[in-house]
This record gives sequence, C-alpha cells and structure tokens, in this order.
Amino acid sequence: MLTIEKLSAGYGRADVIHHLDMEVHQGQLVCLIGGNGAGKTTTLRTISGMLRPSGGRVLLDGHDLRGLPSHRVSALGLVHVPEGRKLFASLSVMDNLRLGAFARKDRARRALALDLDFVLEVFPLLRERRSQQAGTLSGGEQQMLAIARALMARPQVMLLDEPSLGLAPKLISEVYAIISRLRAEGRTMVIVEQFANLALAVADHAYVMANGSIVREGPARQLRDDEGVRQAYLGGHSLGLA
Amino acid sequence: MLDLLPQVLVSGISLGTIYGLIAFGYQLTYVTSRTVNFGQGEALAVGALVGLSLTPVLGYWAMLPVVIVFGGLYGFVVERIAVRPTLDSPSEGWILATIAFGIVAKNVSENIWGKEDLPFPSPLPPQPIEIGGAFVMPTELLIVGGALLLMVAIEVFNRFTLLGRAFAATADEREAAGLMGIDTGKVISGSFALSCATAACAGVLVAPVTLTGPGMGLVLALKGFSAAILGGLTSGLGAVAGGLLIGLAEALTAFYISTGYKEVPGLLILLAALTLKPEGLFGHVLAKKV
Amino acid sequence: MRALHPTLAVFALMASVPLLAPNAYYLHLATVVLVFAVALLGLDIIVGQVGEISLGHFGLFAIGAYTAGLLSVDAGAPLAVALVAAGAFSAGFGAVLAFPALRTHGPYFAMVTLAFASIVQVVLNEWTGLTQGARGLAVPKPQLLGATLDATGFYLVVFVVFALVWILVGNLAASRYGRSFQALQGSAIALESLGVSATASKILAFCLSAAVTGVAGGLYAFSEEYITPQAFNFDLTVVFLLALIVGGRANRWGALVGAVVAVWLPNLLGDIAAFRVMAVAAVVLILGATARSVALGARGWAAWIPAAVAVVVAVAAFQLETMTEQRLSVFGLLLLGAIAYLPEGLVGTLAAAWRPEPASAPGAPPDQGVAAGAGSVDGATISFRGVTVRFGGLKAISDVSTRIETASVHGLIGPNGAGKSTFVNTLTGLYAPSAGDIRIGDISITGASPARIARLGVARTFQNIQLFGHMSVIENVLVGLHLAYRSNLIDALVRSRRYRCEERENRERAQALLAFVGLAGAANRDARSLPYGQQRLLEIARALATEPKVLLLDEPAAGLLPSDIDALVAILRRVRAGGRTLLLIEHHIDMVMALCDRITVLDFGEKIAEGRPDEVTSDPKVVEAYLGATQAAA
Repeated sequence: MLTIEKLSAGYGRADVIHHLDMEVHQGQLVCLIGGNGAGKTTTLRTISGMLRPSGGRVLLDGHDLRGLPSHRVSALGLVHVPEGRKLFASLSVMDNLRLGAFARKDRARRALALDLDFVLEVFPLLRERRSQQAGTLSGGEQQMLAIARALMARPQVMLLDEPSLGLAPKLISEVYAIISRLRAEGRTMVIVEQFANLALAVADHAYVMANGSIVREGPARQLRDDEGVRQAYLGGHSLGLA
Repeated sequence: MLDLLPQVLVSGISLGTIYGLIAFGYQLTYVTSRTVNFGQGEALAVGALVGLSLTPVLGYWAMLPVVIVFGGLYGFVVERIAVRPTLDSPSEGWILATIAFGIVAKNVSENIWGKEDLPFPSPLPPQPIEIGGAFVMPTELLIVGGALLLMVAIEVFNRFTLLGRAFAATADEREAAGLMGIDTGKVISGSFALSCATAACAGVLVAPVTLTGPGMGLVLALKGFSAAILGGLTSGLGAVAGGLLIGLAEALTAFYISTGYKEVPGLLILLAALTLKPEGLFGHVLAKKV
Repeated sequence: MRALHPTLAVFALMASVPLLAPNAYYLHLATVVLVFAVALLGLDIIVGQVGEISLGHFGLFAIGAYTAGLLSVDAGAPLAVALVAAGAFSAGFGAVLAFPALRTHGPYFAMVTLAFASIVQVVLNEWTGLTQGARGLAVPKPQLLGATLDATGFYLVVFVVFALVWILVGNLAASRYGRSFQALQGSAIALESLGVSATASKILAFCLSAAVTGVAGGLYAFSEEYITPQAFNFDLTVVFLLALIVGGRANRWGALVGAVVAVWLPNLLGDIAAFRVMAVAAVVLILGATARSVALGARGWAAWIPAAVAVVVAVAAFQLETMTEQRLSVFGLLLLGAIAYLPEGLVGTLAAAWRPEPASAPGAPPDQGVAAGAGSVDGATISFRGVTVRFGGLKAISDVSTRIETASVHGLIGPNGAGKSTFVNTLTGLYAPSAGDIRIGDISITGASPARIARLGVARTFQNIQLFGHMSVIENVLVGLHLAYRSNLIDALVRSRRYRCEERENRERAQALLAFVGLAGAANRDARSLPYGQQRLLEIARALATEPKVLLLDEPAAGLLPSDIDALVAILRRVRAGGRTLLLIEHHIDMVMALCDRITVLDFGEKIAEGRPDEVTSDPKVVEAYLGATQAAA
C-alpha cells in the first residue's frame, strides 16, 4: 500500500531523517515511536509532501509521490492529520468536515452524505457541535474533529501525528478507542506517538526511531516487551515501568 | 452649519463605502497570504480606464462584469509576477515588488490613455434626490449600492460555497488546507484576482465623481489602505468600519475645518489606533511560538 | 585595511568632480547624487539595519528641506546652522514617528510611515503662513563663513557632509548600536532576552535615520534653490527605495551606487542613443547570466523571464523615438528585476561574487582550558508562588509554586503540552501571570518586561532557535555583551579611544565564549549557516555573554546528535561549576538525570511531582503522566 524507500529529508541543508525504509500493508496499523526530536514528525511531513525529500521515494499503491505538493498527495488518497490538529479554527465543525472532502474523487452527493453520517456516528459529539466554531472546541473534541475531517477524504492511508498531544488521560483513551475501531474496520493508518505504550497497544507493526533513523522494527506485540524500545523513548530510564 | 450635517454625513458615508470596498480588497489577500498589493491604486485606475473605453461599445451595465473579470486577470498577474517570486526576499520584498508593478501599470496606461483626467459618463440622471433632509446624487447611491452589493456577493461566496470555505481554510491554517487537498497556491492567486476585481469595480463606481486617469488611484488606494490597517487587515467587517470612519472624518473635516486638511484626521486616527493597538481595531494577533 | 585604498580612490575622485565636470549641469547632477546618497544612508538605517520598509522618508526629507529653507529665508541662518537644525528637527519627528511604528511590522509599518509623511505633505501645503504653501519657497544661495557659496563650493560642502555621514553611519553599523538594530530584524524577542530594550533601539534607529535624512533634505533645499510641497511626494519615496534596493541595502556602497542610478537614470532615458546601447548591453549580460544558470541546472521557462523582458525593452528602445514617456516603466521593471534576481542589490551581489567563503574550522572541540563562560558568578534563587497563566479560558499553568536553588541545576519535565514552555516564557516576562508572584532572589518580577528581567540576571535559550541569523557568529555574542559597554553613542560614532578599547576587550570576551562552546573557528560565519547543533551552542554562548545569574535552557538538546549531546552536557557542567543557577527543560531524560539536582514535573499545567531525580522517577503520578492511559487504551 505505502512503501518508503531510502527516504531522507530535512530543513535547510542538514537532513533530519536519513535513509528510512518502511512498508505499510493494506489494513495495517503501523506506529512510529521514538523520543522527541527523533524525526517522527519530519517523516510524516515528508511522506505527505509538506517537505520535499532530499533523497529516496514514497510509493502509494505504486504511484511515486516524490516531489508532489501536499494537496496532490492528499488527492491521491493519503491524508495527514498534523501535529496539534491544525483545524480551521474560524470555520464551523460542518465546514471543517466538508473541506475534508474537498479534493476527493467521489464527490457524489450521496457518497458525501453517507460518509458524513458515518463520521457523525463515530463521533456523536460532533453532531451536537456541528455549527460551532472549531476553535472553540475542547482539546479532545478538536482531536476527534481532526480525525473526522481526515476520514471525510475517504483516505486509502491516514497518517496521525501525536493524536494524544495535550489531552487528558481519559480523552486519550477515548481517542485510542476510536483508533482501535477504525483499525478493526480495516483502515490503513500510520500513527506517530510519544507515548509508546499507547501506540504499541493498538498497532500491528512498529518502527522505532532515534536521531533520524529507524533503529528497530517488528510486530508491535514483540516490541512492547522490549527493553531497547524503552531506551528509545524514555532515554534508558524505565521510570518504574517494569 | 449644523443643519447641513445630514448632507455631510451622506457624503462621508458614500466616500467611506468606497474606502471600505478598497480596504476589503486588501483584507482578501492579506488573510490568505499575509501580503497585499501596494499597487492597488493602479488596479483601480486601470479598471476605470478599461471601463471608460468599453462603455461606448457595451453600454454601462454590460461593461461592469467585463471590468470585474479584467480586474481578476490583473490580480492574477500581480500575484504571479510581483508576489510569488519575492516572498522569500529580505525585508518584505513583495511590498516593493507590488509598488513596482503598479508603476509599470500606471506608465503603460499613461501611454495608452494619456496623462489627462477624462470625464466618465454617469449612467444615472444628475438630479439629486432628497432623502431625510439631505440631497443625494443618484451616482452616490450607485456607489454605495454597488460597493455593498459587491462586498455582500464576496461574503456570500466566502461563506456559502465550498471554494469560499477553502479560501477561509487557507487563511486559518495554510498547511492543513494543503493536507486536505486544497491547492493553496491557487487560492492565493484567486484571492489576488478577487482583490483586484474589487479594486477595478471600485474604480468604475467612483469614476463618474472623481474623473478618470492613470493617477486617480493613488489617493483612493492610500485611504483604502488606511481603512484596512485601521480596521485590522484580518477582518472584513473591520475594513468596512475603517472605511466609514475615515470617510466620515474626511467629510466632516472638509466641511467644518478646511478642505486642505481633510485627510489629516483620518491619518491621525490611524496613527493613534496603531500606537495603542498595533493589530488594528478589529484585527487579532497571530500567535507566534517561541 | 586593504579595502581602504579603493575607498580613498573613489573619494578622491568624488572630491575632484568640480575639476572634471564639463559644465555646471553635470556639477549639479553630481551634487544631487551626493544629496541622494546621504538620504539613502539615512534610509538604510531603517531598511538595511532594522529591516523594515519605510514609505515615509520623503516626509523626513521634506521636513529637513523646509527647516533649512525657512531658517535661511526668514532668519538668514548660515548653512551650517540650517543643516544642523534640519537634522535635529527631523530627528525629533523621527522620535515621534517611532511610537506608532514601535510594535508594527511589514505592511502596517509601511502604512504608519506613509501616513506620517502624508500628514507632513498636507501641512506643508496648507500652512501657507509658514511655508508659502503650493507657491513654493525660493531658497537663497547658501552662506558659509560669511561668504556666499558658488556651485563648486556648495558641491564641496555636500561632499564633506557626505563623507562625514559615510564615516558616522559606518561606525554606527559596526557598533553595538548598529548590532542592536540588526538584531531587531533577526528576533526582537531574543534581543530583549539579552537585556537590550527593543523599544529604545527602535527609537534610536528612527532618530538617527531621520537626522541623516533631514540633513540630506536641507542640502536638497540649497541645491535646488526652490522647493515646493509637491516635490516631496510618494514618487520620491519610491525613487529612494528603488535606489536602495538596486544599489544594495545594509551597505554604504549600495547607497552610493543607488544614488547614482536614481539620478542618472532619468538623464539616460532622455538620451535614446545611449539608452539603446545600454539596453543591448543589458540583453547580452542577462542572456549570459541566464545561459550560465541554465547550464548549471536551472529549469523551466521562468529562468528565461528576465532575458525576455530585456529583449522586449531593447526592441522597444529601437522602435521608439524617445524613452522619456516610458521612464516609469523602466524604473518599475528595474525594481522588479532587482527584487527578484538581485535581492542583495548590485553591490551586494558583486561583493558576494568577489568575497571568498569565510574560512571556517567546524568541529573544533570545546576549549577545555578557557573558563570564560564558567567565570564564577553568584547565582540567584527563583521562586514561583501560586503562579497561574491563562490564555483566554485555558489555564496553561495553574497554581504552580516552586523554588529553584542557587547554583543548582533544576530540571523541568513533563509530556508535550504540559506547560513547560509557558513556565519559561512567564519567568522571562513574555507572558504575564494572571495570578501569583515570581521572584528572583528577593525581587518580584511579576509583570516586568523581558529586558528588565534579563538585566536582573536571567538569560535564556529558545526552543525554536532565535539567533540573529544574518549576523555573524561573533556578532551574535557581541549583542549579548551590549550592556557590558560603558562608552556611549557619541563614543561609538566617533570611535573614541574608550570605545575602541571596550570593543577590543569585548571581542576578546566574545571569542573566549565561542571557544568555551567550541565555536572559535566559526566566528565570522553567518549564524544561519551553522549546523543546527552548533546554533544551539551559539545561543548558549550568547546567553552567557550577559553574565547571567540564572540560565534557562529550553530544550537545548532537541535535534542534536548523540555526540553533540555529550558535548552539551560537558559545557553545562562547567557552566554550573561557575556558580550559576540552571533551569533545564528537556525531553532527553537521561540528560536530565545526569545533570539535575532536582526535578519538577508538570502535567496539564500543574506541578505533579518534585524532588531528587530518583524520587521523581519512582513517583507513580509521573509514570502515569508519561504513559498516558495505558490500561484504558489496551
């Protein structure tokens, strides 16, 4: 589905990520974990075309995404939910959802209505808040809306950057419950997460990043109990995790 | 003196709506791209001159939409030539680049239409109408009506069409708009097209009362710009309010103090407002992370 | 020193213009060139150094012209008095203009300056009792030492003024004041964090810029012998800016070359034969440059635009009888071309082609022997009492109390969005707390400005690096030493001995600080050209330059390679050894563990734990905060 080969990218002259290789299969939930500054967000930004790679390539269903701007990548079915949600704050919840479907291929009225119903069924809170300005939603609601907005694009692959960022534990578990549900429906997703345990609990496959490179990979179940993984995201101190 | 107040207010409002319309044009591009066309006055003048040349051929009413389309094309070219290539240059290169584009446009139109001001035929009769103790020229009504109609049309486009919402989305979060499949480069070009279309339309609307010539836009654009900055470049409502404020200040000063000083109070209000509130009266600060 | 000889040669040539000029017309032209050059040197303080576009300098120029003109008409003032008054009066207006311009940038700044100048123009037009309004003012020939100056004498006066301004502006740009102006362009927040008031710097820049432009206006009044308000209009500002951009900003030669272009171009356009030659030459040059860039890999039709435009202009030049009517178009195209293709201007581009890449010796290890940054300093305690910070309805920090001991390293950790950056930004005065009290030692700093807090001994680095990117590495550190100078503005302008001594000492200190963080070999590189990790180290050196009691480090290891982190830890250890208080915000837990004496853990804006590293890591609340709701999600 999504193949990443020898991908390098960065800001200015220096590369932040180096020669990444990743593979995401249809229906898989892949997580990318690692400490702050490891290059996880940069990886997602490069995949979705916000950042031009300095080397390597990204293939979506065989299409080479190299050099395409993010709006073209999105139109091809790869949708990125950015770090910090980045909602259209002055627009209503409904407008945010409508714009999620801005570039998708199937724009028939019925298909749109169907997807809207689906999204509002998954996120019933958004139905109540449909005409409210997105900027006035609480943090948890904003994260829900950001995911819902991306779902409206009917993506083949969805990238989620730190869906837990700034959320209270209760809300984090709600967001992850929804991610589990989407996975059960067979959606293909890549999740970047600073709380490795959360991501490893729902993912099929995991990649561990440090200093811009992938240092470990394997089935999520296997990495969950791995001491080396803890090294990567808590810098060697287990904080009494054992 | 005071019994003439309604008359003065009417003239202030009609001036103010035009300033508001021009200010509205600045605000359109600022929200999507944080840039404005400093050569907006030339867009206005060129619009009026094209309108002047087309009126004998098409008639006044049919000329209007053609001028608006022409203004749109003009704005598109401004964005591609003067704004997009200079976004990365130091100290706001686009400010100078749009001024330079305006200079060229003015010079070219001087060579086409001449430097002299030309009269612009009004489509309406020159007899004033009495409304609530003030005499109003039908042309003034046309100015106010036309400006309001255009602004309402753009607001309707912005609020109720998906493309308009895409403009607003680009203004809110440009990167996220790209992630949702919105081609933000085209949106910015489009906002410049809309902006110059409003300027060209403003030019045609005021031309019957101001005379028409390549230099007609400078002062109007300056006032429109003051209005936009006063209102805060991020707010359409602020643009209109700023326009009315400056128009009224100007009309009142011209009548009660001196025509020579009519521009000063508006500019002083502007300077005072920015000293106290650098983001304009209705503007909001764009948070910057450190 | 080698650069001095060409400068002297050019100045000697300028001094001998009266001998070389074939007639009075050319002498007058040369006079106007120098008058414009003076005005541009003034404008460049704002455009080149502070980095804002002023559309209002025609107003200051007009104020100078009318001040000098009226003084000599009404009071018979001699030239020197008239010029000094022009500068002083204009500087006063500059100071007034600085206030609305203080917190504005970009288009807002441009509008503020333009509004000011428009008011000046209206007043000059309307206050007929004083200025004779639109009728204009006939200015008598200038008097110097009781004698009336002829054209040659006046040229020499203008030349002397130009040379003086040249030297003073050069000294200004190289001084700590010039550095503070340039720092405004890089990051006003960082400038304040070093204890330098951005407000005061901006006002000073305005006054000096206005004074120079005012003197130029005074000279203009005498050179034209007749001034009207209409002569000072928006077009004049455009000509000024055109000249400065085409010539090259932030460079005195740029002002001179720009003035030559601005004055000479209209004359050139009057001479169609000469213009044709120039147009053809331009086509050849631009085609050559385009071919070279295409050969070097430029792609697409956009690369050919300048060449195509040049060809069109050249063809037009041969079709038309005269170019005078197309004058403005040529101006506009030149300006567009300069902005898009020569952003550094003619002088800047040529200089860049000539100048070799600054030598750099990257990777030099930190100088272990140098103790500059670790010189012993008494640290200070920091105490937060019940501090709450609200943004709208959101509490970013809620009721946090903590105490950071002298000469300790205190860690601040917590998940993303826990309020760590808000904590630092509140402590440094960027945000005002909505409740509570913050003290450094015994002094309450609640609500104090960032510059004041910095002067109390709090220095910081930034999570998103806030270097003065276009300045050199050593200049960045020198901005941190701004408050170490005792010499004043006059000392700096005339390069007094006191000033030169201090400048030399401070350069040595800056160099020592660079050595301390291992950047000694990169002193003359542009800060923005450093690799990311070295930029972080430079921020530390710059912060240490202020001799802080407390050093705040906001994620200093973010984006660093493991080897860089080891170097950073070594540097921070030596900083602490000097007695400073360190507050470290960091995600690299092992680094926090290795360095910190105590740690505070924030989560959702609240302090959830505090204590020794081992106490904190075994606290169940901390584990929970770092792991989120593991059980619920699983």
